Amino acid sequence: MLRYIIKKLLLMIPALLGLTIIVFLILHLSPGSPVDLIAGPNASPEVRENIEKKLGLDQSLHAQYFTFIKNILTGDLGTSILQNRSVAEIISERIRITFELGIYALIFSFVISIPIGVIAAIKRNTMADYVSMTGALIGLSLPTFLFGLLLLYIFGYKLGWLPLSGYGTYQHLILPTLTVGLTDAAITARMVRSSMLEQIRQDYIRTAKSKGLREEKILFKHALKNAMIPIITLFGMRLGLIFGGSVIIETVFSIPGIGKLMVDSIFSRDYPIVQGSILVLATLVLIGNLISDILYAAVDPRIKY
Amino acid sequence: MYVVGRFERGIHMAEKKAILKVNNLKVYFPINESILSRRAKHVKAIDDIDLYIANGETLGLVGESGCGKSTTGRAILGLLKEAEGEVIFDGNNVLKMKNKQLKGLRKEMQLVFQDPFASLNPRMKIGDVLEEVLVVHKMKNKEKRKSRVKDLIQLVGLNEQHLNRYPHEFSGGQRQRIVIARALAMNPKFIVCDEIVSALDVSIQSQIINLLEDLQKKLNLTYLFIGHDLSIIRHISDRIAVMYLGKIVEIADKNDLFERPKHPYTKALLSAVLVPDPEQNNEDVIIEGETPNPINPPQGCRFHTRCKFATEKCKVDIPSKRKVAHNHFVHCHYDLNL
Amino acid sequence: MKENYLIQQDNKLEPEHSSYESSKQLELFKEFLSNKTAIFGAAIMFITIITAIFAPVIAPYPYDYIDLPKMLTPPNNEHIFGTDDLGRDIFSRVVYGTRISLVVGFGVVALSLLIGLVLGVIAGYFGGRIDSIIMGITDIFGSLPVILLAIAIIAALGPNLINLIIAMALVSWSRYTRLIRAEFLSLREQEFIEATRVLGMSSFRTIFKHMLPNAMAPIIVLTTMEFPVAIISEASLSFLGLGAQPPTPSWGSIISGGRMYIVEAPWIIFFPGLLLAILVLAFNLFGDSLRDFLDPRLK
Repeated sequence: MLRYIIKKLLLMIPALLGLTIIVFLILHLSPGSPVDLIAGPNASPEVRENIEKKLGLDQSLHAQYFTFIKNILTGDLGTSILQNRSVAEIISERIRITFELGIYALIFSFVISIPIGVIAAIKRNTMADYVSMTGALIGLSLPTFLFGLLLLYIFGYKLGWLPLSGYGTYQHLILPTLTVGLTDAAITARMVRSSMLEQIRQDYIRTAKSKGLREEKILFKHALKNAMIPIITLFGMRLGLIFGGSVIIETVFSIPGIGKLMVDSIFSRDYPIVQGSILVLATLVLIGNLISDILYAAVDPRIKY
Repeated sequence: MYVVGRFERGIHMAEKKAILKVNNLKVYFPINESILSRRAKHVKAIDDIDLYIANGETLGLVGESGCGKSTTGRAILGLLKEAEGEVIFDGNNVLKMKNKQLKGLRKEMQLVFQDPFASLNPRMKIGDVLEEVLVVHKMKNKEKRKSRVKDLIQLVGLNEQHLNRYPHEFSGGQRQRIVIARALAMNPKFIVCDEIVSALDVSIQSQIINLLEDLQKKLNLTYLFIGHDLSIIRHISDRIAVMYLGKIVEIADKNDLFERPKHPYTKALLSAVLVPDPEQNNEDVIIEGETPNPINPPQGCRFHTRCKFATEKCKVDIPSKRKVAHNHFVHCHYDLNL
Repeated sequence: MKENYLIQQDNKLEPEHSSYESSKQLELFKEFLSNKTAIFGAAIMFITIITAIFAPVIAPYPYDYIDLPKMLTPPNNEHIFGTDDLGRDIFSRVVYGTRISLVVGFGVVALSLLIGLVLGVIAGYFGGRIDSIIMGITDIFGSLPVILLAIAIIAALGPNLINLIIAMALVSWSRYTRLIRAEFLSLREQEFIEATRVLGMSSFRTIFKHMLPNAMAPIIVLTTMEFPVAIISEASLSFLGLGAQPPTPSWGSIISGGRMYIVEAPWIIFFPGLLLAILVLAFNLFGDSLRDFLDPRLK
């Protein structure tokens, strides 16, 4: 088991390296030098040179990359161009919000998608199945930002139950959690259903039936237990995807999390922050995948390490 | 260790007319168990075999599944990059050929596959399947191609109307006829038939065998006929080679082999065929145990783990090729009275 | 199936007119055509394509025609979808928006399919070392979060539609590569592919005439399923301001522009949003049916 986790951890390294290369190139491919942004259009050549040196831009590209990696490893993500504070500090202020929202949304998603998926599978080809799967397909076809705006309009404006945007109280969290949770549940419920169906079709379920066990007992004790294996492993992966999608949801609801920070920084061209937040969010996604893998190994006795 | 064998081959008449000679053929497939432990492990699919096939004859190749029969056929055709040794066809070593030469060789040597349901592209009409071979081998004139395709389909006992159909519209036997027609397209001299009837119904097997025999007479073909059904092999072959775990254990004219087998494994194979006489007791030749793993084959004679005649010598020394009669060779240390 | 063939006598070489397999295929295809959801999906897709082609004829106003006195007009006879904060006709903008959704969707799918085809074919056909290298890179791209990676690339290249297509293709190709490689790996083991070698055919002919046509079904299914993903991504990125730039009437950017007026002019968001959802739903319905018909394994 430990060996398996270590192997999975080692396999993350190339992905992380690839990520750092892409993130590193953002700064170097982006139109306009950061020097212009800091120094302003009328700066003297000496001032510009100083800034260039300070940012390390006078070195060769690969030397800059190695410095970049070295800094990341020591927790230094650079300094914000506009705020003149360390990127790590700014991100750490924001990440808690994103994290909190992600966890709530994921829990909400699982709480509703698992029963729906299971019921749809058991009552296959009945009204309940059709209704829930049509709902799931609609949820799948509705972009998150659109669904968020819809909820915002209905509950925030028409009904006036909840605040329109911002962050602070638990009321602020309800709509974003609903938005992300429901769209995510649409995908998860479909997976739960097919996983459950696969189990119901298995031989051992038929054996249990022929032994005369009661149907519900069979389904809940045997089928559900095995159907849960692939579903539990989804947990980490979905969490990762939710973090990735925080960019959109935080923009819709003006939540000051890391996703909104990133989008704002793209427009203000504060590239160190863009780099840092992409790096952090993507690492969270990779960790989510890792959790999925480990859960899978822990839950499924058949997997070999 | 093959000094004796080579010497004897030198004086053999049939060999002078050999269309194909195989010397010291080896095929070792590498296996990497994991990236971390890169020990050089191999499956010795074929381990040092020699044979020849005379012009116009049919050599049968029998053995249990997994013994290397099919691998031998593919190695002879130059399809395996792992093959080492010599496969001399028309004076050239097939295993040393470059792409261009190999393409020329394809006109001369062909292969008919085991599974007629998998060996035809499901999305091509039969006429296109046959014509494509002619296009690839630069028969530029379209009229000529069309008429050659018609000849081919008739040659295998089908007719022109079949050319416009897709493979799934045919039965297994019909498909095998089509595969044979495709192999014949460029007028090859030599054809490897790899278990070509084992996927077919018994009543159809004999039709395909008869077709092969007719074609052999008509077109002066030479066959390497790979199979495990001894009655079919005996029917179609002139000589038979018996393989066990990547090695040829015995090779002889068919009647000689059936009547006077010299290797205990050959004897076991023959007695596994249903015997019409219930009185005849052949219990004592049934082999025991499982076929050893070719990754780690037994030392010495590969058959010693299952041979009831095995001695200490068999566990250590690899038996070399020994002539026991005219055209009859065996790889066994002892002259057993089987 | 096989048994069925073996029973019949081989020596009757009469044409077998009613082949079991082909009639089964026909049946399946008829079933597919009578499938209501598939028809609904196909109809919406068709209407969208027609709208995109004839946008200048259908739209009553130019998409960038500013009419300030009429700003934020609710839907009426003159402006059936209302107007936005600059008095532009939402209906006209939405009609032109179909072009962007379809072009971006098509561009992303085509470009990522192209990359996936080249890499997947090389990896699956040749195998060995080149396969491990390609799949190593593919796995890295496959494990990184799509939207973040796209944003990173757009941040580097600058926000516009062309860069959006490039970014989306760069993050989507890994799925095509995996699928095509897997198809080729299993095809390579088939005897009719080995036969192409025995018959002296070139790798080029084997790949394009024998392997690709037999790998088309799952590729078509995947492509259909990826199309709505690309459309959603375009809308989402344009919504964030990272795709189409004003005054280009992408549905995502229309919605983005209408956000501030969600209270006083909800129609700015409502109509493009509704159409976006319907179009994506149509693609998903069509894709689901096509998958069940062509390639049940992907289910």
